[in-house]
Amino acid sequence: MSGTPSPDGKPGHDRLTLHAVAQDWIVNEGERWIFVVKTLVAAFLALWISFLMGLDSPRSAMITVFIIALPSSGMALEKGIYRLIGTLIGCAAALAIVGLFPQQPLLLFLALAMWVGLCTGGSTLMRNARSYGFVLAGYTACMIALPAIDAPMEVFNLAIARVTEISLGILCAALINDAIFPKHQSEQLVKIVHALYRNFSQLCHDAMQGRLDDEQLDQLHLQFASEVAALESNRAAALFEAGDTRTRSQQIHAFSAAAMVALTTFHTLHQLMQRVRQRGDRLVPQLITPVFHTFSHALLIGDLPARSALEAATTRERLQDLGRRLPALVTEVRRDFQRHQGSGLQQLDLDTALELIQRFQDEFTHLVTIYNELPGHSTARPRKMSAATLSYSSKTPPMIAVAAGLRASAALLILALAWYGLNWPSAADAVVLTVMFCALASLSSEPGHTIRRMTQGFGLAIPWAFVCAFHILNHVEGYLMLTLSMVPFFAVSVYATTWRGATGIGTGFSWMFAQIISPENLMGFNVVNFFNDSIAQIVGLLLALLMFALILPEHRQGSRRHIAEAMWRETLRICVSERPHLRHHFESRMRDLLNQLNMGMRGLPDTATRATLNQAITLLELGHAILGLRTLNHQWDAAHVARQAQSSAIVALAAYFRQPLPQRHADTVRAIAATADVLRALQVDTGNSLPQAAALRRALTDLHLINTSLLDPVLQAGAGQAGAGRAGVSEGAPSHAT
Amino acid sequence: MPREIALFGILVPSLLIVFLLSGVLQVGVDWLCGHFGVYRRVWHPALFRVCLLVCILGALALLLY
Repeated sequence: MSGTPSPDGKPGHDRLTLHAVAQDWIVNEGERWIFVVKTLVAAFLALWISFLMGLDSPRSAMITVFIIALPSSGMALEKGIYRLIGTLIGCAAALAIVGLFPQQPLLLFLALAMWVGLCTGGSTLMRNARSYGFVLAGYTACMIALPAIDAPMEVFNLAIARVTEISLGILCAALINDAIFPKHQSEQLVKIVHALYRNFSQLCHDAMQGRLDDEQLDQLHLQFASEVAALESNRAAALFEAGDTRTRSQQIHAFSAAAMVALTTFHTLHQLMQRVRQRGDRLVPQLITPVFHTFSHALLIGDLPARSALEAATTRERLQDLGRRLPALVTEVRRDFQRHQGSGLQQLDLDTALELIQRFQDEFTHLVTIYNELPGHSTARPRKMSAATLSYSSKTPPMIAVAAGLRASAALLILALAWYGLNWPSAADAVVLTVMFCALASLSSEPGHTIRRMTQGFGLAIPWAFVCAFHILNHVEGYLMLTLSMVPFFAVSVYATTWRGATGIGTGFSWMFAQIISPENLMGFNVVNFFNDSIAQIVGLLLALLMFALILPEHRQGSRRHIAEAMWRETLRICVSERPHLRHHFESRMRDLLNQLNMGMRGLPDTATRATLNQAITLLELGHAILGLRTLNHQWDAAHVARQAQSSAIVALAAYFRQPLPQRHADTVRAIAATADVLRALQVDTGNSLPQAAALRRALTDLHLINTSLLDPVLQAGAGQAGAGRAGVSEGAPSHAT
Repeated sequence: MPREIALFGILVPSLLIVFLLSGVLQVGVDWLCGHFGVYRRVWHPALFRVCLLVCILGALALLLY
């Protein structure tokens, strides 16, 4: 392909084309092959050292390298370190369990099952790199304790061997990955920050210009949620690299927090205008349009958002300038409105929209300021809030985690008892593998798919391993020859892992290949063992697949029902909780849930998923308005009429969120209308001069927002459905909320 | 310093202890380097970090031999 002459036949042009093709190859394929070379060097280095040291099972070190082979050094280091920690904890647990119940298989199985259940549940709950450590802690304990049932004295040696091999593999992989051809995670992080800012500005600009329809906006919300999640996971991985990510964590947290808050405010504003338009009201949108135009022009430089953090300085200046002009603009709009003599409802809509625009201007300026300051090499910039309070953390709905834990425990218990009765020498491997995949695959939103991919890799590896072991390896002598005869197979499988669809197959192949060839100082060529082992591995995987199909199949990551329940719980928490930084917590939890929804979705969302998505976004708006109302509540004394009225509205809302039934919905709408009446009466009494009047006006806009969001058909349609789904859990909800 | 140390009745090579210790030290030094921007001034930060670990480990191991 590279040799084809160019149409005009000039040699110089031809060279240029060749150059471009070569460049393209280096960028795309070159990266992949560097990765392959890095992984193979690390794997064979680990194997060589374990041969030198005479370790019991050199293959474990090699398999470790293949498992933690990830494209960037930060990710590989992160996974390696959590793997090491998990292995150490798992070994300690195995020693303790075997020490407590020596030669008591039943009790030992029970204790192991409990441990595995706890670890798997923990890992499912976290859903980040730490969860991998949890998985490891769980199945390492099985791996060491199961073979030690008949020989408890051996358990200590097994544990030592396992730790040595794993740490050797991790050290080799870390050294090669980080020191030779490193691919820095921090660069990826910078790209994600830029993309997040760019997409966000573009979204606001397009929506203000009226170029986005609802479906696109939903899609953009999901994209935003996954970008925020990616930002967090990349930041966590970049921490392990040499560099200054650690000193920036705080800024990055602040950036994503500011973006989340600003997006919600913007969405509330946009949604308000949409609802007003749908009602057939022309006046308010018409009045707001010039403000939107001014605003959207301030967001872009030329016709694009700021391309770099330095360029954002211009945007910041424009926004600050806009902030100075905004009060005058607002007064003008109000004057126009009085000329047109709009109704009371229109007045309310206009007040709310203007309030939101001012709030959004504030929040977006804050966001741009943070973005602009990101590249600055500040060492100690004082920040009001610590990183911990602003951090984004992913958390799976607890029921899913409990189900994952139960599934892993049950799998271990059933299979271990069957194995103990079956007396098949390789069955221990099958049991360990099943438990391992019950834990690993519960991190994925499609556990069946993950396991099937792995099984394909394992299955493919068996014939090739047979060829390699019994037709090639029995002729070779020396380490170099051993390496040469195994490299081609591994090269292909590691290369396969760099392709999106084939990652699981590639990893499965390398893993299984190393596992059943089992290179050792004194190679044993035993066909019976070979087939016993390979059948055991495949059976183990198939059993894991069976476990996922049989035990609580609906409780998987990204399950829509659980996400919807968690959303309502979070909104309830907004009404009743007293913890600090509630707003940020709510924002990040909702974004996390949206991201889970996105993960569990294949292709375009179906109707039910879209309903849940719209509910989530409407609940976000509601939550913000409720929080605004609660904050205003602190301004009144305890006995003030306004405070009592507002509290009663919040109580009604909490009752509705606890059990979203149509009846409660109607009650809540009534309670809010009553509160609004009380406040309006107060407003007439106090007049327009006092500072209390401003608070009253803000409270009324918040109430108006709550009212419109509550009346949104999305919430009404979802209420009955969610109420039916929640009938069983509604009793448990309050305990989560406190 | 002896070549092997008894920990809870198990003989552990002192070099392992030294390695763990140097790992802990390394984390501290690494944090300082990141904090004061040393990594922005070196050509290959990751290699620099590995060398730092080797230096620390070597220096501590000299106590043994």
